[in-house]
Formats: sequence, C-alpha cells, structure tokens
Amino acid sequence: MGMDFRVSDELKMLKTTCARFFAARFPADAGRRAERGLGAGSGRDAGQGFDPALWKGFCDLGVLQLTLPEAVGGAGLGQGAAAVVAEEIGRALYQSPWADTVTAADIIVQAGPAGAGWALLEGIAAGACTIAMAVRERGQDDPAALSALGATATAAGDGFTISGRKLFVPFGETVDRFMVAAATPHGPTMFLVPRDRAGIQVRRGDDTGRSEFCSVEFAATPAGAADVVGAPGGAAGPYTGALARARVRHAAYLVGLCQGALDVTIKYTKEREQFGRAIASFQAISFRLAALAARIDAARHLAGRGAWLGDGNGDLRELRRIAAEALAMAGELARDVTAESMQMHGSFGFSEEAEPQRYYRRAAVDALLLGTPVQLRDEAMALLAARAPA
Amino acid sequence: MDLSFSAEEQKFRQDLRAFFAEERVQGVLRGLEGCKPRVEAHSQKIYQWLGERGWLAPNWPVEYGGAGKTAVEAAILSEEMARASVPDTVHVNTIEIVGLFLLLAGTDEQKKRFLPAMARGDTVVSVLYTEPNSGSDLSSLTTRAVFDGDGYLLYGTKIYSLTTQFAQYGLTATRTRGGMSKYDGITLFLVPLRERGVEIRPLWNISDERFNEVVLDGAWVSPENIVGPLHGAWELINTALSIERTGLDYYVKMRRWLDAIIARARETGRLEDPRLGHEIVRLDAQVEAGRLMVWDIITQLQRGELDNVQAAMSKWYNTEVGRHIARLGVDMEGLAGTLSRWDGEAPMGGLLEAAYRECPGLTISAGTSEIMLYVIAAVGLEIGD
Repeated sequence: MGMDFRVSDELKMLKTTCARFFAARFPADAGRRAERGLGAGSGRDAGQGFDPALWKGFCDLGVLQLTLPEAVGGAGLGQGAAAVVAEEIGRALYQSPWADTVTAADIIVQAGPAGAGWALLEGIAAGACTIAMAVRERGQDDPAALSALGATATAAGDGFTISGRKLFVPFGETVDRFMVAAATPHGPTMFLVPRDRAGIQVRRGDDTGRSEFCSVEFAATPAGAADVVGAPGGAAGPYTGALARARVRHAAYLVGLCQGALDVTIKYTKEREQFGRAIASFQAISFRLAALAARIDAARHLAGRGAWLGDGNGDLRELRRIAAEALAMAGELARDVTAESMQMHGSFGFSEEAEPQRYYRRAAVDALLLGTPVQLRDEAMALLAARAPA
Repeated sequence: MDLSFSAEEQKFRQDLRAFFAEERVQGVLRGLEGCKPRVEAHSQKIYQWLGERGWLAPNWPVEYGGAGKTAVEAAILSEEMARASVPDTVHVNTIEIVGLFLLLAGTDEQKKRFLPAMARGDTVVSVLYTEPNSGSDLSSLTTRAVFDGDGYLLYGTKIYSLTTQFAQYGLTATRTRGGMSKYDGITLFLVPLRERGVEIRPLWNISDERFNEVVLDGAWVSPENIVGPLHGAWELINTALSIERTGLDYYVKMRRWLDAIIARARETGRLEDPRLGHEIVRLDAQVEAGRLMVWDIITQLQRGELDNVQAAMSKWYNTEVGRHIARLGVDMEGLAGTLSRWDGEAPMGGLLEAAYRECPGLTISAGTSEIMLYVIAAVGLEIGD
C-alpha cells in the first residue's frame, strides 16, 4: 500500500482494449473522426456523423459501466478507469455520446433512487440509452452556473412545461434523452425527457470541430413529476460534483488529444526530409516536441490527481479546484500542441486528408466545452481563496 | 493509482513540523533572516539536530546514521525543510548527491568513514564537476590526477560550485588517463579541501548563494578516496545525475515561492482579483502538476526503478515554471517587488526578489533545460541526432 502512480493491470488492459478498438475502426485515412459534411443541417454522407454500429461496438467494451455502482449494472471501477477511456477517446478523436451519457448517469446516481432515470441506469450501463446534457443557452455561458438559466419549467397540473432554447447539445439528433436544466420557482431543476417528447425541435449546427452539436428548442414541452431528476429545485447539488468529475474526464480526453497530435507529428517529422535529413533531427523541431511531451506528462498527472479526488479521496472543493485547474491546463495545452503540429506539418497539415487539422479543429471546440480557461480559472481562484492558508 | 501517504509517512511529516516549530530552530532561522550581503544563510546546527535523530538522511541505513526510512520519507523531509525555510543546498549536495554516490558505489570502508559523519551534520561535501571549459559537456573535463606512487596529485580548476565554502570534502571529477574516448579515463575523488594545494575563492554571483572557484595545484589525495571505478566513473556520474534529477529540490522551492505569493495576495485582499488571481491559479496548476511528476519518480525509486525520460521532464518542468513565479512575485508589488531583504521594506521579506535573482540558475544547474530537452527528444521520442 502507499503512494503508487502506476495504473493497475486491469486499467492497462482497458486502455489496450480501447486503443485496439480505435486502431481497428479508424485506419489512418478513414477520415471519420471530427468529420462530416459541411454546413448547418447538412445531409450525412455515408460513413460520416453518428455511426450506430461503431457506437454499439464501443459500448460492448463496457465503457459505460465503469463509473456506475455495481448495484445498477455498473463495474464500480471509478474515475480512474473513466479517465483511461477518455484519454483513449481523445487520442482517437472519437466523437460520441459517451461523455454526456456518463455525466448524466452520474447526476442520476447522485440524485438518488427516487429521481427520474434511476430505472434507466441498467440500460445506460449497457449502452442502450444515450443522454445529451442540455444546459448551455449561450456560447459564453459558464457551465458551472445554473443560476442564470433562461429556460423555465412552469407548473402545469401534476408536472411542468419546459420552455427555452438550449445550445451546443451534442448528438441532439440521435440521443435517446435530454437532461435539461430549467429554472423553476423551487430553483434550478434537472429534467430527463425523451427526445421525441412533444414540443421539442432539434436543429444541427456547424462549427470548427464539425461536431454533432444541435440547438434544441423546448416549446411548452410537457414534463411530469416523474421526469424530475432528484427534487424540484435540487439540481445544483448533484450537478456540482458531477460537473467536476466530467471536467476531469474531459481533461483526460484533452490529454489524449494532445498525445495523438504529438504522436502523428513525431511520426511525420521523422519521415519528412528537407536539407537532406529528417526534419525531426533539427533541434528547432525536436526541442519543441520534447517540451510539449513534458507538458503533456504534467497535464496527465494533474488530471490523474483529479480522477483520484473524484473517487471520494479528499473533499469536494479540492476536487472542483483541481478539476478546473487540470481542464484549464489541458485546454490551453491542446491548442498549443495542435498549433505546433500544424506548423511542423507545413501546408500538408491543412489538407482535408491530413491528421493535424482534425486535432487542431477539435481542440478549438474541446478546449471550451466545459468552461473556457478564463471561466475555469475564475472558479479555481475563488476556491483557492476560500481554502485555509497553507 | 494511489496518491495517499501512509499513516507512518504522515506521522513523520507531523514530527518534522513539530521539530521545525521548536523555539531553538525558530531562533536560528530568525538569525539567518538577518544575514548580511555576501554572508550565506546556512545553519549546520539545525542539520546536527536533525542528525541526532537520524532525520538528516532518513532513508539511509541506521548503521550509517540514517533512520532506515524510505525514499518517500526522505522527500517528505525536503518538503518540510522548504516549508520551514531551512536552507537546503548543503543538504542537497552532501546527503542527496554525494551520499547517493557513496551508497551506490562506495566501498564498505568509505561508507563507514564518511556516511555517519555526513548524516550527523558534521561533514559537508560539495560537488566539483564544472570547469571553465567544461559545463554541459562534462566529459571534456581537463582536471588531471597524476599517480605519484602512493596517491594522486590533482591539477586543475573547478568553478561555479555551491556550498564549497562550508565543505570539508569535494567530490571531484578528474581525468586519470587519456582514454580511447573522452568518456574513458574519468575518476571521482573525495578531495580533502582544507589541505595544501587547494585554494577556494568566491566567485560572486547575483544570487544569495555564492559560487566557488577551487584551484587544485598538486593537492594530494589517497587512493582510498576514489569513489567508484578508477578511470571508469563516467557511467556512475550519469546514473547518479539521473537519480538526483527527480525535480524534488526544485519543486519544493516553487511551492515555497508560490505559497508566499498566495499568502501575500490574501493578506492584501487581491487573491480574488482576476488580474492577479488568474496567474496564480495558472501557476498553482503547474506547481501541483510538477509535484505529482516528482512524486511519481520518487515512488519509482522506492521500487528500484527509474524512467530517465520522466526524470528529465520533471527537472525541466519544475524549473521552467520558476521564472514565471519569480516574475509574478515581483510584478504584483510593482517597484517595491524589486526591494531586497537588506532594504528592510521588501514585501514577502524579499523572498521573491531573491527568487528573481536565483531562478536563472535553476534551469542551468544539474543539467540545463537544453540537455533535458535533448534527453527527452533523443531517448523518449527517439528523435534528434
């Protein structure tokens, strides 16, 4: 016992399993990652966008069970395992409903057996029920702030009707359910509603990352008392911890993204010759790659600490601060690594078939997804100030 | 992954904190604060008090004056020394570096002769590698050791060593023969410094720790003071360099500096001013990540493993952050940030002003940042030439 930074053999195997899965499904030239037709609402070309078969194959690895308690069909392996999977997803740039489904399941578990969604957990663990988080209403919204919700849920009969517009909802066209945050007289409340519920309109957007983001309009969408996750007005409690853990997983995803971008760049600069030698042999290249490798190692360590804290070691404030710091670090690093990757690939890196531009485009979106570095530092700053002096 | 300390390790930390809080220790530390310019803050007394309990070298075997504890507990000592503002450079050189050489490669006789006195805090040893024309490329060293029938006569000049003014011995890298390659023929001696043929002079630099120039002009050294193989010390030097490259001694400095900045920001009501707070948080993340890199390597050493590339990353990362911390510490006070501790009105007791003067040395000593990047690229990424 005692301090040990090694990942267990079980998690090493999980890592290898995920890496092999992606390597088999994503040959280097497949062009499926971070990829789909351009233009808002554009039609899906064959092999682009959400691929149900791929998603099923991924779920069959058990990746949705990891963090769930064994009592509801989970594996109870905790955040360390989820971080391992997230890092491999980032390395492969696989875009799927995994991240939001894990976060929603966390919220459902935190909210307890009386709330909506508890009965779905076994299905979630098996990959049979996907959920998208519908919280954000403006691009610059801080995902940590539930207090400024424009969406409302007003009392109607035994339940509510939800009205409002949510932005940047991932895979809004294909998920089974939305977890919607709305203001009620009781306070911010989380609802779990099926995508095909009346009064929901989904429109896919278009962004740098060629994501599957959608805007979701709720127009007097009915929601029963049974659709409330936890208690009315009780969203903040379960959400705060779940968001911190989601940020840690996302930091791990970004570390993987950085590693993927670094790996393709190392490979390329070893092969590419100019002035009669591989460009990697120039210190102008090799030293920059070495510095990025060290920074990635640092970010991986910090995310690892976040995962460890996320498994109930240490208090919630410490988890929230390290989560915010780790994600801010990983978000900035992702943009640095991918910009350097573009530079070192020269014009080739811009081509549609080239790998660096995929990482570069995803970094733009993923560095901001769960809070901009400024928002994250704001939160960490407040938590640092509230901490007892060292 | 388990990032927790055992109950025994936590108790050792508490014991150390209680010791450093003792009035006799605090009294010595207050005295050091008043050190005049060109007088280096160092207390052999505190080391001796630690030594009485086997705590100066806690991970050494009891028979050599240690406490038979682990590498983790040795690292806890380093953290707590920094936290208590106990000057540590003599400790780093004597215990962590030279002690490590002796444990790795010393004869039983040498271990018995040197280690207990070092662990008691009675003997100080410094490291004499660098020469005027031999820095990062250490294998180009030219200090000669000539056999005279009984022992060796040393000729050459060693520069930029720290703590030699306190030392009785210097671990000295010499050339004992012209070999097939420049890596062959290198021998390490523990040179008695208070003998004929040794002249120690200060080379004043901008930091609070002086450099020394050591001129060896026929200094005689017994063959019994050769550490490791005759002519074949190159590999040993490199092994020891990478083991000492955990980044620990750098990280504890970074944490101490940043904690002073945080305390100052809190005291002046600016910890939640984003103009300051955001930069503090950015650096806090880096120092925390650096700490984890250090502890990762320490637990590797504990298991008898060491990833040289990770060690190089840790040394690079934990020193590169230094300039940013020092710069923030000065900037946050405006021109007052440039007041030194001898001015009397310096914020943070002049700690961050001193940090600004010290930090350029951190990315140079024990392997420059460029050498670290070279190791990462060549060994880790398998690129470069």
